[in-house]
Amino acid sequence: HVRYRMEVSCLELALEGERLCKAGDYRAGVSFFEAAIQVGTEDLQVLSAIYSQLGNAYFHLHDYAKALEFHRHDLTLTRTIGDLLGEAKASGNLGNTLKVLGRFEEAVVCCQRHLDIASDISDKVGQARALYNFGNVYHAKGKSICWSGAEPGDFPEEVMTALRKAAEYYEANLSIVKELGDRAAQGRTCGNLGNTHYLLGNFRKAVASHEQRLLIAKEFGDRAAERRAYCNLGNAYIFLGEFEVAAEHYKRTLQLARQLKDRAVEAQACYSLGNTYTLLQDYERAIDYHLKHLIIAQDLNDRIGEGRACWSLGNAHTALGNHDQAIHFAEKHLEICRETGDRSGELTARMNVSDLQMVLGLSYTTNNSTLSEVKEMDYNLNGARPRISRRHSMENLELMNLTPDKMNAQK
Amino acid sequence: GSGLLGRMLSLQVDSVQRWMEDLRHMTEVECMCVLQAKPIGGDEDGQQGELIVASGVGAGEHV
Repeated sequence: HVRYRMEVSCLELALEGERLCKAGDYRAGVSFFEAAIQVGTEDLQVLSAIYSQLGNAYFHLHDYAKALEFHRHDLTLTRTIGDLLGEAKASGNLGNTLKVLGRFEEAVVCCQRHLDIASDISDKVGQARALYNFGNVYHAKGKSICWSGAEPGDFPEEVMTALRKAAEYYEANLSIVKELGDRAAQGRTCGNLGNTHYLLGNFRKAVASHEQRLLIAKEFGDRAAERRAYCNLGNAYIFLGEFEVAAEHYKRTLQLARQLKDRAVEAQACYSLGNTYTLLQDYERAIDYHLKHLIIAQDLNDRIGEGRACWSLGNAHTALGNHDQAIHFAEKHLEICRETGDRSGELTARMNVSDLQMVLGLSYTTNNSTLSEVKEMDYNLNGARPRISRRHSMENLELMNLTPDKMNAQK
Repeated sequence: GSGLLGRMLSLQVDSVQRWMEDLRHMTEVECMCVLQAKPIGGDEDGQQGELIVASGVGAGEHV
């Protein structure tokens, strides 16, 4: 009788934990699961489910060390009791956790196990999931290396290899989910595949995938996904050198960001539009969007964004010959760079202020501290050279460096 | 000296070029973590109920 009562209470605690997690209260869910484990059970399927759900709950709470611990317990248990389907799931969850922890080699082993089991038991859905996880691991691996200080546009071979593998796994996943008719999964994979191609520099392929993603997002009325697709498409078109098309996609991004009331994304879209119109040499429109970006950056207290906006505005006004406006923004840029400790930005801003002062014919003998620093710097740099002209050299932007497949695109 | 020259060169980087350098790494990601749940009751074995799509936060996206 006593044992029976204990069994019930373990199950009851676990069910309450499950209910709480489903409701999104992972903290409370965790304590019920922990209590259930304390009570204990002889039903190893239930114990496996508790370990698995605890792992997932900790994952949601971003406590990945704990998530790892419980998914490991689940894997060991499922292997012990010979529960293949359970082992496949545990492997998948463990793989995801290891990926987040940056332990990609171990994650790959888990994905392979997941895939092997799913293939052995002809579980198509499981195979698709394993392939998707595989793709994500390689995608994350590639990204984690290219974030750690690689030269822009020139990713190391290791990154390219990982990203190529990611693309292969996403393609394999795609053919299964298409066969299964799972449109939601297809949309997700298309988005990831598009991003992988983008990072690989295959901008045409990126566009094709994101177009698919967009189509599926529209089918589902998923406006957040739609917005992501438009933004990704805009970025790809920039590197294809098709700036007008990019601008159209960024405008849709902006529209959706406003509908979804996502201010940060709205700011980013305005910033992208400002830069795109600068590439199109439509400086009035560029200024319009950079101002919109500036206002939101100020609202959000994003000083770095504000600095970027001022820098861009200074350059756009210089291009138009509005030197008074240009110097105003250059000085603001300088002020913000000093505040945020951006050394290279500070030097750029000082040069800009100094250039503009020359154009405006200001005296160098002013005792304004900014000006005297500028004077000293110019002296050190061996006097003036026609730096103003560099801003008119935007058409010489080193697109080639940034776009491996631009030459194909332009043929 | 060459240090100054390097500094001069780094100043050539324009705001648009700087934006493009950042853009080259930027992607709006889909959910990158699909976890699978094991229902406690064991009776709700429907495939749909098993799938937890975790938020992409912490999945390595720095945008």
